[in-house]
Amino acid sequence: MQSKTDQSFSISKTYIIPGMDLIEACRTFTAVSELGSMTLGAAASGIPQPVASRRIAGLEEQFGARLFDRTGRGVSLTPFGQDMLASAKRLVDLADAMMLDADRARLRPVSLAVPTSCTTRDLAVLTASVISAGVHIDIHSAPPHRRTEDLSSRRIRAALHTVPESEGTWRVDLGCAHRAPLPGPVRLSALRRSRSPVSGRGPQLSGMRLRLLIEDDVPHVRDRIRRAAEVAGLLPSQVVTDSSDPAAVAAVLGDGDLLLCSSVEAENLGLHWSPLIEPTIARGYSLAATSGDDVSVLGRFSDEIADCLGGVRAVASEGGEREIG
Amino acid sequence: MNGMNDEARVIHDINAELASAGLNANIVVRDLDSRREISTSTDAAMPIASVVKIPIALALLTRISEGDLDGSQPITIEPERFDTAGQTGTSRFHHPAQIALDDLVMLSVCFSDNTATDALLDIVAPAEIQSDLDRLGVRGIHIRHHLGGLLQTPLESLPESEAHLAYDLARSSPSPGAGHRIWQLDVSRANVGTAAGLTDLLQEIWRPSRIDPAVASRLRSLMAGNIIRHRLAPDFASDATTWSSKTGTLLNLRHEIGVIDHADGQSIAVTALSESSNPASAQPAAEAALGAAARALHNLLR
Repeated sequence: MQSKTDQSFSISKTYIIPGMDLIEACRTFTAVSELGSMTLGAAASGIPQPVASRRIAGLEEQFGARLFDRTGRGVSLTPFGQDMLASAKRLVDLADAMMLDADRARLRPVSLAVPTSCTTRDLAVLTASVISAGVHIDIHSAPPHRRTEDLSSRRIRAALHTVPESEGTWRVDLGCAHRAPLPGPVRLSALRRSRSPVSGRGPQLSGMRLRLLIEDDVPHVRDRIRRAAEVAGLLPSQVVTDSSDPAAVAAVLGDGDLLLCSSVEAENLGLHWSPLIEPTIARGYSLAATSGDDVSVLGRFSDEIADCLGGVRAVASEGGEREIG
Repeated sequence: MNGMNDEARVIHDINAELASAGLNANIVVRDLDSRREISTSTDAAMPIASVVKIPIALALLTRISEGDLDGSQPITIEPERFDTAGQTGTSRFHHPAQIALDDLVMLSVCFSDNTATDALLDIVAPAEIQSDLDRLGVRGIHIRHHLGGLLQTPLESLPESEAHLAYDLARSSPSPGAGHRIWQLDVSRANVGTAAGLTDLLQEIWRPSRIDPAVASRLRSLMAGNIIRHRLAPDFASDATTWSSKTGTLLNLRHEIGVIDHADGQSIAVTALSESSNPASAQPAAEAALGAAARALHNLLR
């Protein structure tokens, strides 16, 4: 039989089946071998019988040997065909797995890390807007250092990074929140402890502590506030970075401290808010992602992101969006 | 905290208040007659800055009283280069001046005049003043250098906008009582003292046992004339009391030693040595906290 094979196929050795056809041919090959019939195998593969026959013939031509013995009632594997069956099955299984992976990858959401202060409603609006544009999105709330770490270790695909206000795509103006209404815009120097307090009504800013949220425990906010406090003659203990946001808010509600936050945050906490005018401090945010595609997709939802942050789009530049290597 | 006595509770509260003001302080109060003493922490040597002018004045006044020096002797003071903020008296002179020895001592103690003090140290060397203290049995004070050295810290070489870096460097000392990269803050190189040693010195000036009572009286009146009154004086001065003191300020150090003489005859020595962890130059709230702490401790002896 070996000599006969050589004779039959010696002239067509240069013919190569293209990759996709090879997989389809192998699919037909495994189906025919399982069912022992060209007709049944073709039916199982959903193709006409002549196509199945042509594919098998093509394979045999490519391999340079016969896969089946055509017997009267059906077909049976030649010893060569038996040897090839296992790798044909592997190829078919791998191709199936690949198609499933492609489906999954296509549906995998863009994971976006956002500040913990974003409200569920604003995030829901962002999610719905992004989904309606055909992209799946998965939101994770995390404090600033976690967002940076998770992005650089690629546990997430995109993050709203906290950056100096001048470099941000979005800006969130900060002010002071208090349990009672404040008389007007706040200067940090008003917190300076007086040697002898003047009695009177209304909140006395003198001697009050200013508490910072975890979101503001970053150098460009925390250290600027601390330096301004030093220069204004405040006690070092008057600027407090708490271990958790509830602890900070508890001190605001319980001890009457001030909280550095945005007007939106103050509203959500049920506190009165006044802008901080000396120094003026704002949070800056930029969108960073592991891929430029994600940046440009999410960048289209700038207004929704601004709402989530409780801020506005910075007027200056668009240079805040970037792709990390 | 049950079982804790009032004194321990007050000391605990004082230390908490000082810590929140960014201060690491040792405050000692002593009734000069009953010798009852309370302190906020264990005694450790600290650079004493201008507080050193008290033992220097004592040495000069003793020599004048004993006739070794003439108090009316005119000394020529050359204009100095210390034209920086916070300098007083002859340190801000622009022209040479002739000033009597007695008056230089006054300028040194009342005005904390560094140039006048260095002129005194040119006449009586630090080593001689040191041996005077040893003879008096006052321990823990070491006099090693002129006052001009206090104006050669990193602060003087930095532009004003970067001045906070010098304070940042000053506070990054490994621990109180240890060495420091700024030599003026290094306990092994600077003029240093302990709160207990300085309180012993006040004791000797107010209740003299070994020094001439006339010299002690003269020094007490000079200290009563101290013009620097923003640190402890607001908490101690009143018409019924006399507050006599000497301050010392260098980078993050804020000291004041003094005695309050009450109308009823009780005299209480107050020695407050502090270092700040806050890199600000002007710290009014810390000064106030130090004064309040010293007063609260003093009240325990009343």
